[in-house]
Amino acid sequence: MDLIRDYIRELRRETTRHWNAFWFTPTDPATLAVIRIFTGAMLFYTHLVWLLDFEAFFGTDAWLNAETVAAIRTSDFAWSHFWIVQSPQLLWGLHFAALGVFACLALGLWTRPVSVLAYLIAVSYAHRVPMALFGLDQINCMLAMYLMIGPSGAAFSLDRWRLQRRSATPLLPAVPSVSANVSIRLMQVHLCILYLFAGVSKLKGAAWWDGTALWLAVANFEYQSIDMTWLVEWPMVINFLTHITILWEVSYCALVWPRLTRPLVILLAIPLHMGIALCLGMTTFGLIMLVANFSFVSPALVRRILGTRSKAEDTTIAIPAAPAPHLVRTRAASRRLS
Amino acid sequence: MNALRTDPPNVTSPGGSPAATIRVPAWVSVLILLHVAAVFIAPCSVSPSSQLSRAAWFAVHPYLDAAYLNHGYHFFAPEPGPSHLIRYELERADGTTKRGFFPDRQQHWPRLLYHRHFMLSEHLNALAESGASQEQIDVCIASFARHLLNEHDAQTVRLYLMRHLLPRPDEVMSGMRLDDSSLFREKPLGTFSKDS
Repeated sequence: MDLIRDYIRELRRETTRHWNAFWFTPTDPATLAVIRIFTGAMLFYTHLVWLLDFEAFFGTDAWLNAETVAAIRTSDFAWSHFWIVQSPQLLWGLHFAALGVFACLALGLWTRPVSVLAYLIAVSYAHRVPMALFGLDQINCMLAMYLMIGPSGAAFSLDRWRLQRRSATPLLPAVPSVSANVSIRLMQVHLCILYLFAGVSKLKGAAWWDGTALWLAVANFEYQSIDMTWLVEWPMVINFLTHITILWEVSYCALVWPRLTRPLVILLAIPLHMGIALCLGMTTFGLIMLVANFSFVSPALVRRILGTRSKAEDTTIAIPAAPAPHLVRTRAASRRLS
Repeated sequence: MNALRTDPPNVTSPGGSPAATIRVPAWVSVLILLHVAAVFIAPCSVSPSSQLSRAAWFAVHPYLDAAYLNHGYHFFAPEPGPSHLIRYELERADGTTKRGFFPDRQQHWPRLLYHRHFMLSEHLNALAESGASQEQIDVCIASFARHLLNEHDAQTVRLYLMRHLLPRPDEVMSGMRLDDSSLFREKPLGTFSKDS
């Protein structure tokens, strides 16, 4: 009985310890800031393209007008400002305002309120046109949601540049933050769930087992943007690419965590998603998936590539458990930034 | 779960650098747990699913729906299938006719706009295959028709759902093009007039 009691006690203690370490260890917001730039840019582009045929998708005589969407939607919780605003002029005005919000998010201007607005706007548009959406919109909204949590404007942003200009002394690097870690961790975990189900749902299809699924994608004229039908001469290559795709998706949630396998898993994401982007005409989806995968890139690597230093690199000692006064000050500055 | 005060020696931040864990209220952990559970439940509840999955979905779907997290993530699953397009024939008051289809890569540019139109026709087919009521499907088709009538100032429009089958490897090797006419199957969706 003592053995069982000890085991349960240790299980509880270690689970708690690892849970807290996983979610609540402060991290440099550099990775989050890069994700903010690319997500903001993608949201801007996505909504800029709506502008090209705005009336056809959001007008009173749209492909699916608001009444039709109300008739087919399965949930009463799919809210949208389009259910309230009827004036075409106002809708156009709001659309330009939305583009401004997404541009501010990409540039990191007034980042904290803008990140909340960006998420709400992206979801509001998604609920209005449910039949015109695909994976791109799912990932756009997922990333925008998690960008609301962390201080994504604490690095590589106009907010930081403005603070630097106002400051008499050189600005201290961004402080590692728990909310940046929670934000990044949520992206990582969400991505693992996504790939797991993307993989296991394919296991029901015979073409993923007999190795011909990639051919079915390549032979789809409506998706095609680069003709890859020459692969028909190389059936073993088609088989290999099919198998590697599903193996990668199913194993992603396990192999992306160990440090040894993480670079391989993330590097494999590049040809897979660029293949979808370039060959299947879904450039935006392929790119935003790579942006989501960027959540697994360490802030230290981001800093090294961009040639900037983090607060953690500036301090010679580990961050103390109880924040020292100078850290409290910089955290306050960081909060102002975000 | 309460956060630890001390730095576990074998734990690192996403940045890879050892760092101390900060004390965070337990309700934050509860919120994270509920959120991650909800995100997991969404694809679990996609048909075919267990009664437990559907019950869990019923509990969390208001949150998932409102937050636009209600996704199955079944990309190209169970396997990549045929495409679906909508073909239309318009008749104007002066007797002239016009034919077209969507998505149309000649007409819809950039590619993202093409894909938006592609999703309209794909989702219409998916709606029918997912067991949606005929009334819901008819509402969608009528809305497409209304849009085309207004956009082209036409009197009547006939709509067809085109299924574009995928050629087998041996067919392509023997010279068949991906857009060969024998690969298309057509189903009439109805005739609609401006008056109706």
